[in-house]
Amino acid sequence: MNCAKVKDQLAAYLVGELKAATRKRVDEHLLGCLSCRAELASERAFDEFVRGAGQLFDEPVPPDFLERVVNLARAEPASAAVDGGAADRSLLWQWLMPFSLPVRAAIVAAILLATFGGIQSGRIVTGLLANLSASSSSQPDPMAVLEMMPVEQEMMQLMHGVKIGALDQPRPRSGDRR
Amino acid sequence: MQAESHLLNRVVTMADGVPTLQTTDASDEQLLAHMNRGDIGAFESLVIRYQRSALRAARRFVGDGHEAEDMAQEAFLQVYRNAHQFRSDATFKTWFFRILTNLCLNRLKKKQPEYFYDPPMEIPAGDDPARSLELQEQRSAIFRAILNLPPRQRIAFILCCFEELSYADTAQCLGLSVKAVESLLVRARRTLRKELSALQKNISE
Repeated sequence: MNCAKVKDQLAAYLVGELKAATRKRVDEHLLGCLSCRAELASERAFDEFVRGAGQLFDEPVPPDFLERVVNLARAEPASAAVDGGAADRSLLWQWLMPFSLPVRAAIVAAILLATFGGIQSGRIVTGLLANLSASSSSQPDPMAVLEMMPVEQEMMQLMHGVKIGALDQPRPRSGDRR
Repeated sequence: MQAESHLLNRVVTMADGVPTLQTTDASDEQLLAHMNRGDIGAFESLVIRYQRSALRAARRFVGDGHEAEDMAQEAFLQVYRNAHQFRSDATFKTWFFRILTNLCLNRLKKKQPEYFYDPPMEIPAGDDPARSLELQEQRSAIFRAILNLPPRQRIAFILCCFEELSYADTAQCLGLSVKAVESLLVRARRTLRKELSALQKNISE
């Protein structure tokens, strides 16, 4: 490799872009060539010169920049600001990544089953708690009871001793007077 | 500045009128996770950490200070909006600079580049006004030469040389291979060397 070719390769040499074989040939040439070594030193000095300028001349940060950005972020719609569901999905996804595809599918299926299975019992518990807190001593609202699922109705019957059949009256139509 | 976050240990002090994060035991990625749970203080911490380098990179890419501010601001807002999309296969720094890089490159599609570099501040050079002016001119020449680089070469050079991103991280920011980034950097170096060799020679003498 002659000097002209080596000098042409020096930028790539410094950036590390040269293939191993070419790099080796450049290294061999540099060992025996004072002129190319000087050129390499000059290239390195240039790097330092530009980098140094970048470090020496920093850009100013406007004093109100942070406040402005944070205020704009606060003004963002809530769904954009905090996407809890998406964040949870993201965390779940990150957690699932190390598993193989079938294992991931099985975990997701198990979570879905647990979630949707839990919704039914969750509804019952929520309904019971709401009724208890609203009127622990009084009878349940007949209309509310009619809205319940059969299992919920049974639970209410057990708690209040009210026969659901007795409450199972047709709803008053609008305009009906009693 | 009073930290709003009670979840994180933060000490924010004022340095030259600019809020600066002194210490925190949370990584960028942890801050992002706090942010996803609605902690605006965590977002504030990320802005404090990255505002200087975001403004610097944007400024060196576009030249104009106001546009650089707009781009840095938009990059942070995109972080805020899309924090839940962050994937742990990249660092926050790479993800953030990818957002900023896209903004920089998209900006050129809408607006022709302005090849000037407006010196943003006075350079402290002791009590010698002539030396101060000289440094100012040198700085302007260097950044003008960088502004004249083609956009991808320019952003690759800025990220690697000034923001100290690795070639791999720069490649992620640009959506290119490491080899392609190396090639951009070689071409950028050659152009800059040609443009600035006279200036470097004057400074060395």
